[in-house]
Amino acid sequence: MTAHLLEEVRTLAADVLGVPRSQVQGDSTPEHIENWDSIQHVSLMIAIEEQFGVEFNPDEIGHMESIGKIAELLSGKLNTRTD
Amino acid sequence: MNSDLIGTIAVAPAPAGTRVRDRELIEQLLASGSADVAPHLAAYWRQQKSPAAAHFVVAGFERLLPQLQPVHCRLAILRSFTVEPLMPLLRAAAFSAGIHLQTQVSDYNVYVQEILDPQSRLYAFRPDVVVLAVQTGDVAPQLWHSWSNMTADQRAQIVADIASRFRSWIEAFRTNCQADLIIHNLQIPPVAGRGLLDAQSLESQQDAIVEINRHLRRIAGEHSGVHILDYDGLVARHGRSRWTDENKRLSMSLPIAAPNLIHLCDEWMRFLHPLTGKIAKAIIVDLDNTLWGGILGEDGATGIQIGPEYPGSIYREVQRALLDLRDRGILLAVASKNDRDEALEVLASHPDMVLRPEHFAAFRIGWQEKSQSLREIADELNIGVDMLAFLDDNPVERERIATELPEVTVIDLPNEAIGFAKALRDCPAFERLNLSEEDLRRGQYYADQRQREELQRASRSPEDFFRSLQQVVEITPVNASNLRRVAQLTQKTNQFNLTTRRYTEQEIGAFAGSNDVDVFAMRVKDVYNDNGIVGVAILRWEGAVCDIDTFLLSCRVIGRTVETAFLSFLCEHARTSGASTLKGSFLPTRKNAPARDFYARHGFVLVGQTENRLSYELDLSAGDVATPDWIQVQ
Repeated sequence: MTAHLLEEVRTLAADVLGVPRSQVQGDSTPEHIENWDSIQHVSLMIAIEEQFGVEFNPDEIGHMESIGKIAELLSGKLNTRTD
Repeated sequence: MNSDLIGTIAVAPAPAGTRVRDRELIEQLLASGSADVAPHLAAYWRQQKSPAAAHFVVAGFERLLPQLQPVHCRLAILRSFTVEPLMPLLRAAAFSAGIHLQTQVSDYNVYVQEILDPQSRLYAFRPDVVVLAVQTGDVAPQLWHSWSNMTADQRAQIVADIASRFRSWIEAFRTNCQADLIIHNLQIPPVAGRGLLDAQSLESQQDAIVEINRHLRRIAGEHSGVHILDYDGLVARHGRSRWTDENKRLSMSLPIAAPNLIHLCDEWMRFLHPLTGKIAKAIIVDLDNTLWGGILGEDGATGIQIGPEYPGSIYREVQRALLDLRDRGILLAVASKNDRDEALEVLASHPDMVLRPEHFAAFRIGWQEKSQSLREIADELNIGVDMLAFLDDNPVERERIATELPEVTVIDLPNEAIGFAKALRDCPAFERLNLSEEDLRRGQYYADQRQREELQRASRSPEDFFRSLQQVVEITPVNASNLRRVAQLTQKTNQFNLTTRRYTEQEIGAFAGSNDVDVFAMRVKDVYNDNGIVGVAILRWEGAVCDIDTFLLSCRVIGRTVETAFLSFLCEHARTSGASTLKGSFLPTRKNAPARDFYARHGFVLVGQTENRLSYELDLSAGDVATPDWIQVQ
């Protein structure tokens, strides 16, 4: 259901983190991707917020532990907004 | 959840059909390794301006770097808040403007140590430009959080204290470093601590911050190369209540909401353009549907739209914006496909025009291609094509210029003319960090120049013409009154510039105080007017050898033999100061061919030749350079 969104998040994360897209999978976490430190995490959040016109609060950001989780949270947010 | 709906939302923020195609196209071009993709990357950036696009654009430009010839700039940022998400935006914007930025971001809130310690990481980075981005709440917490019942004395004390801290930082910075310094001024809090009472008070919280900002302007004005960024004004323009995202401010020390990051990036770029010489000296404008509404050839002089009533008022705003640029020293010229006599007649006599023929330095009105017109105008004004900006409502003409003359600054315009004036005013290539007397009078100079050329056509020989000009040359060592202009000439002169070495005001000031370096400025007056300072020479001494480090002439006086008078003066000065040999070099660039034979035609001997340098010497005991008899030297 969120496959399309997951693909978009993967592309965005690969750009922001400066790694090939193939390295960024749904189950990728900061452990797997060397460039994904706390500063890059902020940049990634900002990029997603800008791209999708959403805002995350600190609790949500704390739960974004993998690419898949990010896509999931984003999907929930977009869904709520259009209800 | 409806997946179709999500797909739609996901692509909604930017019209994405074209976006994906552009990106795929750019990726293909990048893979082919062609440098031609650079303009596409720049266009993609200007169209997107998003954090996501920034990373893609920066990565693309970095791959192309070996094939590009960008200006290099080392930028250090001293900060009290999170700026990291901004850096990719800034680097993408800079690359798109032809600037390769290398950046250093300081640790949080160590700006005082970084400035005061000569051994700091900041100075080790050898920055060209430093930004001091400090928040009111960090530097002056009393003014941000706890403004309560302070007495007038306490308030004055706090203001004076903060101003004097900034002063001491700037002074320490200048002692340690010659880089340009950009200081964010202090932001007024979105909500006053005392609520409505603040507006009733003569000692308001707002006043105190305004006063500090006034101090900052004064202190900056006392130092060369120190500039104020009006951060409070920037926040106000975009809405105080919308500037900050409290989630990011309180959890990540990021006080700027994601959609506003680009605005601070744009503001920094407005400084980086003039600081790196990425400026336009002239703007070439179209006429129909740009300077006025409608088409002159179809609607006639009485049918075009210009004047106080809508829609003519739209075009009056465009003309006013252009007049403001002209008053800043930027030349205006016309390139239009139109009937020349009819167009000039409308400019001269239509009652509602803001701009008149005398405001323009050149006209190309006819049926030739605009790229040809732009080349001719650059020639006529004696400036490089890369110093031109282009304003045209027709996207096809803009695209052609962008393709055929990629070095021209093509101003992106919205479809509706109502946005034209803003696009003009927002263009960073017109920004200047200071205005010299010469800048303010430049438009007039070019009008005079047209008269001189008429005189030249009437003269029988070049000597006749030179004599009729009655030129008086005045050569003086650099001093406080001409320092700024001298530095500006080293930074801006490209054509008649033997070595193209760029110096800041601070560096020229240091030369002036040195025993081993002489800096001379040349002023040229003629029968028409005083051209101001139009030549600079810098001599470096090593024993009895004197080396001409820099010799340049403003394009305003090329071809009038004043360079011979200047060189003659330098020979005489070198000889009387004890030199036996005068050395000179020509370092070729893409633009300085007009100066190539300068030393050879004045009797200097070629003593060394490599691809990057021609070395010359003049034995002062044997040779000399004579001043032309039609020039009077003072």
